[in-house]
Amino acid sequence: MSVRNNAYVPEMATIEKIERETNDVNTYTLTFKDKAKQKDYSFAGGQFNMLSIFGFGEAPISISSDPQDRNEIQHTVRKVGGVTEALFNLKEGEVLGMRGPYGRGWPLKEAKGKNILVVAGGIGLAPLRPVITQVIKNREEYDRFELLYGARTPGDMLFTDEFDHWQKVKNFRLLFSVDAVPKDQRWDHNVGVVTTLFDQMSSTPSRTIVMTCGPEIMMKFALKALLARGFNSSQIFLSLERRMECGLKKCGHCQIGEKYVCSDGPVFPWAEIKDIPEIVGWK
Amino acid sequence: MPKIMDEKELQSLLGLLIKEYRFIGPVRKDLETGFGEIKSLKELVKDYTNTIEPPKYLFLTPQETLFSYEMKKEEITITKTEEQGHAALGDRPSLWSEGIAVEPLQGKAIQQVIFGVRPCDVHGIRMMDKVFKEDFDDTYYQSKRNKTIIFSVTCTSVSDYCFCQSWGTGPSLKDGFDLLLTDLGDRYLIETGSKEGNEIIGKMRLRDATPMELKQKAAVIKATEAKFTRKLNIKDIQQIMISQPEHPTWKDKADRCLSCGNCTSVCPTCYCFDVQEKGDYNPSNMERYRLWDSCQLLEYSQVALGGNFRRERISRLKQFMMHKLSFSYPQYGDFHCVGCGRCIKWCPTSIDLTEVAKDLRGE
Repeated sequence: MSVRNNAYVPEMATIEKIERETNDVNTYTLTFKDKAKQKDYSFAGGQFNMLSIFGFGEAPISISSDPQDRNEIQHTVRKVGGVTEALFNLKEGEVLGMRGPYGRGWPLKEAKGKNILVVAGGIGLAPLRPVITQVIKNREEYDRFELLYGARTPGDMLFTDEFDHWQKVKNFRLLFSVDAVPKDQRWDHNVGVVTTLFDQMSSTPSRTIVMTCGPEIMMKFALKALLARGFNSSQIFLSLERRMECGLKKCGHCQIGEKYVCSDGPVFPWAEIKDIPEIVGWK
Repeated sequence: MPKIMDEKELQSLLGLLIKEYRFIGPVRKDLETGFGEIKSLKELVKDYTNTIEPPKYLFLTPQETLFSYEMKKEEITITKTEEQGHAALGDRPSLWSEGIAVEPLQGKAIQQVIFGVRPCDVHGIRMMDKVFKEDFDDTYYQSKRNKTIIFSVTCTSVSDYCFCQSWGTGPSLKDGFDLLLTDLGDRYLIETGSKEGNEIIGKMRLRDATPMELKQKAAVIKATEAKFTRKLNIKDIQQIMISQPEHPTWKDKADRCLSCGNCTSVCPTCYCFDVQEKGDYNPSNMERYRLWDSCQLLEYSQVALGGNFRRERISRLKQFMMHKLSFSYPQYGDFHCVGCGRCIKWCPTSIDLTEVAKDLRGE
């Protein structure tokens, strides 16, 4: 049995570029050392890789780059724990381990010909960036696009240098909100949690697919607000976070009810999970 | 065709297996019986109902290396993976000091025999086989499992904790074994369930069992079945287990649960593990390994920034029981409970999932 056939052994990848997004978020551009592997690798927005920082461990991290760009893979990572802190100590040119992609991504096929509403909180925008880039690249395949994006402060917003470009896309509407504005930061948009943007939103339940990712508490409130506005359980998609040790449906940690978040998710239509006992309380 | 052997023939078969294979069977462990490697027939325990531990630990070892690696500047090299010949680490030095499958027996595909596996545990292995196969092959589990002969024994005794009868996972067995032995009193009935089993028995000159002896086997099973005291009503159990998450029985049990994880350790169908990194100051000696984990432990559902999806003990207890008696069925087509009763027997505060199921059913 060769190492290559062993699902637990990561491939080596080089950090090509590190870009600072915020105080505690960086975007890492990676390529597999094995050129053939890089060529074969493809993913869907919403899927994740297991990233290994050798000497520290492995963590599931969603992919934030354009699925159509086969030359490199990007991960936008917030420094929150042991593995991500170790990642922040690595420099361009250094090596980490990568295996994947795993899981079910966003329903971009289902959304064809329909409107898309994205509701994102904080680092939750990272796995949704592939959706935004895909919709922009294939603009004629989708109808209206609306993004509600909230962060703690203006300084915590991701991908701000891309906002201008996004704003200019036809039938794109972006609404921003922050929880608080520190004295030294300028802010021309809404203040309040992301759900306070629902009153300004133009999306309606008609022919719309909703994709949401963010802290679980944010998604709970977003879900309540959407259901109250008449969105139904099969048009709302959520990306869930759970502890994962393998990504391979073996270690057990990511289970909620009968679902494995690593392979049945991380993106779920609300209809699929709403009756799971641990989730029922969300409604 | 089932065959008949006498005591002497059984002894010589077991003797042969001990000589030819790594032979694991029931041995005395303090006041209990557990699995251990056997070098001499004298060590074999016959009068046991079931072992302390399920045989899962032979395939999903309590701790095992996934791979070793060397770290040099800008260069990381995977040096060895388990299936290439690492000694498996374990908590039983007597069994694990040599590791498993380190030195392949000359040209033999099969390297170990587990004797005395009860029917419930054979079903447990069948369920674990699916878990470690589905979607992604787990080479660590399979490399050991594929080299193992399962020698099962029909149950003639029943403990206060046994309820396999309720699931139909015991006290007898229809498939899933390589060899199956039934004690008829003054003779043994031996059946084969695989090519490997046939090859072993084919070497012995045994006579076919008579129709009368087959009837005797049925009578032995019937007599065992009459001994069960514990029952689990499995009708609609998938719905019943999840229909009342607020039922007071949950709080009643959770209030005395110690979150010790005994239940998951002794469960033949619990498979959760954690993955950790091991290193020292020598970067050429790094290792990634896995070790058993338990949904009963607080850290199990912990995520970054102090998040925890099952902070409350009651939520962890529900996860164990609901997974066994409900969620596993849509996942794998099996309820991950074989009625061995170990989680009840080894719970320090006598939490009993058959009792919880009864309470939820309103019996």
